[in-house]
Amino acid sequence: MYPGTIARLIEAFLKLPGIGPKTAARLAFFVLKMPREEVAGMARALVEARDKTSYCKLCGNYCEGERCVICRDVRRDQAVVCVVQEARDVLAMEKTREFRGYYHVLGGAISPLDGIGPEQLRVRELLERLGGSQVRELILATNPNVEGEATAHYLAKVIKPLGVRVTRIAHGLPVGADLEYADEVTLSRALEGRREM
Amino acid sequence: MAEWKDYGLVLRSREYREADRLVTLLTRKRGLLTGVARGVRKVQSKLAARVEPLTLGYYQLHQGRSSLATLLQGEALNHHRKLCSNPLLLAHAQYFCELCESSLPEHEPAVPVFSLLLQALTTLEAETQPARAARCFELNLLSLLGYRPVLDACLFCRGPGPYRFDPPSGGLVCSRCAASAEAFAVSGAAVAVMKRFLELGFYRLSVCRVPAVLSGEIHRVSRVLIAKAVGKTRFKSLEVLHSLTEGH
Ligand SMILES: [Zn+2]
Ligand SMILES: [Zn+2]
Repeated sequence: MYPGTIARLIEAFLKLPGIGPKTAARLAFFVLKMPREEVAGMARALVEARDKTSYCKLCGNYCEGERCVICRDVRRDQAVVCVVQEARDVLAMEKTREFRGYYHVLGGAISPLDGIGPEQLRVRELLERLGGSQVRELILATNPNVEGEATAHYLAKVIKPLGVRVTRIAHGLPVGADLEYADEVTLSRALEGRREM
Repeated sequence: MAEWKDYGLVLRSREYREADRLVTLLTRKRGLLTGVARGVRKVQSKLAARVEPLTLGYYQLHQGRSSLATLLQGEALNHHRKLCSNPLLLAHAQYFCELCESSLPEHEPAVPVFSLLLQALTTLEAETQPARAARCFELNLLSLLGYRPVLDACLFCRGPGPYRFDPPSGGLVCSRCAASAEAFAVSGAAVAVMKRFLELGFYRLSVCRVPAVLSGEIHRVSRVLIAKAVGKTRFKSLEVLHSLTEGH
């Protein structure tokens, strides 16, 4: 249908998540109209990011080199570690500017249907990291869904015996939402997680 | 008939396109089907919590010309939340779901399997020995799929035990009859428990004693029959389940 080079470009875009054939074609034709330098810059950025980015040996976050920026920052609170599923969740948590401890990225969540158990996650690394450390609290910030809940329960079970306080982030209503429009599940979790005022 | 309401259990839910999910449901009226739940990965979605795996809900669905249905609305009736508080129970529950997903044809009513799966999940929530529930589920599912093993006599001469299980013929064979080279011995206790599973299902399962050795013996039989009924022996959730039991 399209000349070889365009077809190959469309195919390349199709590999990205959330991109269907129509969008891929639209993106490809957009690229064709872009200035050459911009396209070259984009191509370089792609390859460079892929080549230079690796995972932090300590926390599993994205980094360049051995340790990520957060693990290298000595001013942060050594006593608290926040456990998240994916490296992109670190970015989300950082946006809150509320959390000053360190992170641990699991690289997913327990999901038997996908063949993912604790062994497929960075759980062993977490246990090694906690052993003999100054960590007093572990905050479990896995997703509020079946897989995230199962993972949180599993971690609580294996980590509590180490004498570390284990907490779970609250589930509740999105800020700015109307109570009457909330679904029954979210509302019942919010009720469960209520606190004294 | 483009739009209908139905009870359904979410067997699987995976990310689809930008903000959607592909939800595999076992529905009461139309059996196994896959539907798109649009926009459910956005924080504001009301449908999101209702299409989580293992949710029993009452859904409003639309079936257009494509093979994919659309989940328009839903109400969650039971989340089977206890199953998420223990990875081993979750692995068992998802193994049951995976078995149903792999063995049922799409868009064909499967009310007995639907009921069996619901009973199994309810049992599992209070189960202290999930392996027992798994064996009971496997055998009853096999029975509904038309692979109920004959357990009261030798497949060939109708004679009494002791028996071996003969994989090619999928039944028990006595010591006097010739079985295949793959045949393996099955204890009288294992045969008795299998009969009990098939006769009583999950009814008062908690008083049925099934030690690990017996469960292993029964699993050897059910695995052969599952391979015949489903055409495969590897299930991802079963592998995770095994890795979880080996670790403890
Ligand atoms: Zn790091
Ligand atoms: Zn015989």
